[in-house]
Amino acid sequence: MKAGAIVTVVLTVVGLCAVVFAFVKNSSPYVTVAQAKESDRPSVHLAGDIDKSTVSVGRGTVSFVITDEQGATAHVVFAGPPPANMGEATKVVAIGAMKGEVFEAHKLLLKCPSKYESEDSPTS
Amino acid sequence: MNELLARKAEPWSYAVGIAGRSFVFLAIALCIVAAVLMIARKDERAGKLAQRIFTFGSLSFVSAFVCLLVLFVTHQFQFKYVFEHSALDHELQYLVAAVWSGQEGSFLLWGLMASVVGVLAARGAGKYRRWFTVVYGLFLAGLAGILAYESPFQLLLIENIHVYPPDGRGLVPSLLNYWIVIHPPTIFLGFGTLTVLFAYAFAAVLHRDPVAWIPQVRPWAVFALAVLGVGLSMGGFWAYETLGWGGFWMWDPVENTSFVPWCAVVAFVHGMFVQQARKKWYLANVVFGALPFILFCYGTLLTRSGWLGDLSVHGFARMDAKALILLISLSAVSALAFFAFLVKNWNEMKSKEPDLAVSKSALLSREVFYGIGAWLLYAFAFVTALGMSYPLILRIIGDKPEIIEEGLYHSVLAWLFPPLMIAMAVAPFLTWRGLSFRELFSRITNSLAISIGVIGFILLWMKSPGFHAPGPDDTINLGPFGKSHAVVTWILFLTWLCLFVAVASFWRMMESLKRSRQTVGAMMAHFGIAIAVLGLVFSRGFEKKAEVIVHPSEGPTAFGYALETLEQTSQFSDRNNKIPIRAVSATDEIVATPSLYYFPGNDGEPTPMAWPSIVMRPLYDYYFAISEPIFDVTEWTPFVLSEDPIKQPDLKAHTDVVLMYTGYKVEGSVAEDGESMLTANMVAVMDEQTYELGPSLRVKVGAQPESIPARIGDRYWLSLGTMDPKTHAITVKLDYVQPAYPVVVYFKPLTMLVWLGIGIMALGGFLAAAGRRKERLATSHNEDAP
Repeated sequence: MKAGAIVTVVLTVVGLCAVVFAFVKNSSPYVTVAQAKESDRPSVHLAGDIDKSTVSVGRGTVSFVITDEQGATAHVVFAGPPPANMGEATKVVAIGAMKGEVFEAHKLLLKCPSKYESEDSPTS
Repeated sequence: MNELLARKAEPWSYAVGIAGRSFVFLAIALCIVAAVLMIARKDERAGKLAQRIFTFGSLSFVSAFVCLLVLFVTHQFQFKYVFEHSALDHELQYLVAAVWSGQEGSFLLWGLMASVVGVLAARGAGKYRRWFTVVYGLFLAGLAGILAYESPFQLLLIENIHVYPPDGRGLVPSLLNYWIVIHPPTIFLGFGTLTVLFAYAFAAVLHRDPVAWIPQVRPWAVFALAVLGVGLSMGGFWAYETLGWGGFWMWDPVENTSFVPWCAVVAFVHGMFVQQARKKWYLANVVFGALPFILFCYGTLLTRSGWLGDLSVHGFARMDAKALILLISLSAVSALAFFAFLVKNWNEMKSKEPDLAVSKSALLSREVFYGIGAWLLYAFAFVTALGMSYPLILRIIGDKPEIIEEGLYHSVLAWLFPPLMIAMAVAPFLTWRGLSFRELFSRITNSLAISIGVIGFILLWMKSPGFHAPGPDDTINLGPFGKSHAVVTWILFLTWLCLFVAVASFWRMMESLKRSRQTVGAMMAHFGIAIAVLGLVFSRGFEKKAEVIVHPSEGPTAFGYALETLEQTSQFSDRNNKIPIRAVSATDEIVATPSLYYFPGNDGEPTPMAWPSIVMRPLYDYYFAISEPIFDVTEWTPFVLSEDPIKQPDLKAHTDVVLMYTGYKVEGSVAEDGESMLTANMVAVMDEQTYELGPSLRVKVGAQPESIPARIGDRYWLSLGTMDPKTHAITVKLDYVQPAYPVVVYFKPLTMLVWLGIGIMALGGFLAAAGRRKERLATSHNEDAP
């Protein structure tokens, strides 16, 4: 029983360290437009307000202008269909990276002026 | 504003609102009185009285809920919560669903479900009734306290003047879906039942008896497991049927809040078997019983407090500050009090457990495997909980918040998944006493062989033309520990694990058909889960995507189907408007019906809303996602005057039309007449037909130039954008006459198994719960393996 307990504790501690290591190493940071331009990570979260008048749906892409909390703007292009609640959204989190002057998103998380807080509205 | 003030609501509606509020306060008072009376009870009569008061306290929750329901169904928009979440045009089911569509209402729903199951469970609590009622009563009182601050019964005030608007704001369009009607009540019924498990565990500690509660709480635990499982799955189905969610599950904090307690309940249900069969794990089970509730409270706190702020994809309303403090205290006090009393009564409870040395288990025994399973389940829960708390932890340390993405959950959990599945497949074949490796192997050989055989059939199917297999270069990145793996290898390995569990569970289910109903239920649930996870893994892993523009001149094809849109079924303003898409291949024809309509957005502009269409087949789904139509064919393209076709820009890349700019006409002058008409003479060749066209531009002083396009056949509009006054060089643009719809088609193999598996799991779960109940009513007996 003693040996079993030690094995369990050791395994648990090793597992814990591995998980924490993985999370620290690979989590994706929230950035402003300025930070996104400097970052060389393959994937960052860029959060901000959608400028509704700039939303344009093209051939398999959606593009719009995003304004971050510091007031800086960036052009975001997402390859894929616009999410169902695109129209309702006021805030957006674009996940991707800056390619030149354009932020290429591989995923959009939309935030609606939510009425049903316990339900979800992400997209990929 | 005067109009609003002039409108008077029916007096009874205010009475209903006041009654609702009063019931909330009554619930606080009655639940506290019941708890205090139970603590101080002198005799049996006082206990009976306290029990009755507790029942009435719970009924107050039900009454408050009914009051709110009445306000919603009768459109009492003078109440703020009703105004913000309901509207006149909502059908009855959405009026009902709107009750729980906001923060206040979902707390009330939690209270309603918790109080209903609380009353039912308290009746059968037997010797634990006293402390069960105390714990449960205090929890309900706390929940009612939150509702007193976060009240859904507040009147609508604008600048401190009470108003009665003619219509409410209504639910956001993406919520107007049948899942909002059935998913929240189901999942909250599960959450409510977690309180029963917690109150039982706490009562077991306070009564210092970790033995007798097990057969009493077991049906509730199995019930909670089944209901939560079904609720979780419904959430997944909702996500799947909503455009842009990319599947059933995405490890969002709100999803995790229900997944983590579910894992904990699974561990508890299995721990109880060990206690019944081996007289072990007494204290572990007490902790296992309490943790699901504590974990759920933590998740609720995390998601409702606003601490995650912008870090979640959910829009979280800010909670009332005092209600938040109550929620924090309720969660913290529950957890701390439980563990404090557990430590205090530890030794006394430990002494009830028989000596361990007598019943030492072999390595290949059920007990050891259940132990491994419980650790793995808690590891699952822990990783998930850590992932969802990660932004908060970084914020507390003072770092910039970072996010754990979906892929990272997968790459970390991928290490726990295979051992868990193997334990799940092997454990049912083991005995409590233990087997030798040779004995075990002979029992599982059949399941191993069959599951590997089925993989062979799947490989054959994947080679067939109907299957759109991934290329040899497609890889899945396993993250920090592993390197990239080929999709086919990795997904087929996971598929085999699921198949192994499925075949093994089915085998055991058939073997126990005659012997034990509960075992049949349990094995059926295992079988269902394995099938559902198989569906999830396979359909996500082998998903393929094709993006097309559906328009006659594009000749769009996806997965060997030629696509065309048919006439829309209604107006764009109609919520039920569908744009049928016909897909025809050499051997097959599909008609998908995705919806697209426009609703007035916050700024009054028409805002598009789309629902995908899912064509379900036994072996695969085709998932059609449509977006709002586009008309642009080309950008503005410059042309210079020339009769020579070689010198004209080539639009062949985009279209089937050749354009030439051959001359121009200018009528009037802006300077003299204030208005001028510019016309470009153009020749278009399409389908071997020649069209002579004159797209023109009216330029007026003080106005935007107005373009008058020319039509090419039934396909394009040609518009003139600018004309240089000196060189007469122009820019033109082509638009479609018919709208072109951007459509994304996904091929998702074996998705049907997710639905099928969940159904089987639910059936098995309820069968097991019913079996447990029967067993509890009779005398409890130990079941043993084969």
